Amino acid sequence: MKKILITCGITGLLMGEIIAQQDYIYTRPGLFTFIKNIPGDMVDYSRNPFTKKNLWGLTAISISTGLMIYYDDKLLNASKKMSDKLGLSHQANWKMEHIGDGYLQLYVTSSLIGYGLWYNDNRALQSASQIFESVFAAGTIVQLIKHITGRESPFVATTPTGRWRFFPNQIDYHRRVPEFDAFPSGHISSIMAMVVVLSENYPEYSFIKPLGYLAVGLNAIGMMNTGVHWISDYPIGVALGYSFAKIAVKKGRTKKETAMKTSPSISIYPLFLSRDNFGVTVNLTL
Amino acid sequence: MFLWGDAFPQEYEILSSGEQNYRQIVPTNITKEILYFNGRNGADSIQIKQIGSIRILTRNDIPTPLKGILAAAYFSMFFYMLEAMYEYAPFTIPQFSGVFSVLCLTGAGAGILYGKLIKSGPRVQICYDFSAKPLNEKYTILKQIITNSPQSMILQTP
Repeated sequence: MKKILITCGITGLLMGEIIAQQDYIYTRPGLFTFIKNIPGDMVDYSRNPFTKKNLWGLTAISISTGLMIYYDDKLLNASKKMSDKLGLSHQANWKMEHIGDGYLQLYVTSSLIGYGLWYNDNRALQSASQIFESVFAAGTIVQLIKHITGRESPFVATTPTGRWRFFPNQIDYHRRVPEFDAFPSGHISSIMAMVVVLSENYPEYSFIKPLGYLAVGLNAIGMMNTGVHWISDYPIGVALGYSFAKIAVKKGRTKKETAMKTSPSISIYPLFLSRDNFGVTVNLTL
Repeated sequence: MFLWGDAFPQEYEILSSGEQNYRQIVPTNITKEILYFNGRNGADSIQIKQIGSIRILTRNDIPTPLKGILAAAYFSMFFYMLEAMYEYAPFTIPQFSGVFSVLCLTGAGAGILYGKLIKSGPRVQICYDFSAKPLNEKYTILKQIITNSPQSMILQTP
């Protein structure tokens, strides 16, 4: 029964492609557009969290991070136990960890660039540019926070939930990176950014979100099991990836003026399918 | 691999009076007299009265199970390459350049190959020849075609 449900679910996801119309106009991005946009993205991001609209989100991230820090060691053990129970090998966890290390993003982005250049598809090129933009922008903030917070990774932890050394000596940081670079997770922010960009630009593919968020989840579990991150490193990483992806997508496309603005109408007119075929088209626009 | 699939299954081509070949367009806006679009050379426009006919091209996509197999192959290829390359980790700068190039080239190649596959299927073509119609009617038909909201439905009787 379980297998049937899973199969049906996956089939449903795969079949979830609809013929969608292009509601946005995508212009071809320049070679370095993604780099040029990053400073502006940072400015936009610094304004966003403190707006009334995002206050709940900010509060949720703060509270969840605080609670997770408190229970970090227990949650880490639970994740490892679950991994053992499911029979996940070290290699499986290693693969899950590498979903977010940037190589997958590079690979997927290269495919989008190859497709976009070869077939003159601006949407693919914009998606690639936006992935680069959001991954680099989020990555910059992640690195800044890592260099300030100096938290130990689980596999080198000297206390149950990892020691924090705020404003560490930067030379020590670069000599012994795992002792300082746990908080927040850059892996999670990069996979999150990629998933959000793809799901925003390809809304007609309904499987992107569930499949993408599954990838985010697997990445999170994989990194806990390999001892690279604590669970409390994730909420801020997710928020950064999500926010910068939204900003990049917003900048990278323009809403089509004509889309969805017609008043309800019905019309009937002749249709010529080929030389020998003739028909009638009834068009109902709601 | 099927994430970027066939970007937009429907494509539009117009034939204007005095021209012999259709040109592909991505409509952006329409007024009573002018159709604005993105063409091969960027943003452009045409007077509606000059449009002789419009063609709607719909591609028959490759079957979903095949897409699933391709997707599995695409990600398997990634992890295979990653595992093979990590045997030499930590990378020196030349090694990292190699890893970077291999991933970029393979990814780009996969994108192009996938495009070739999905574009190899047969195409369905619907042509509206309204060269003899009055401007008002041309405008109405064009607007309905290019607006084509998801609520819009076209019933065809061959």
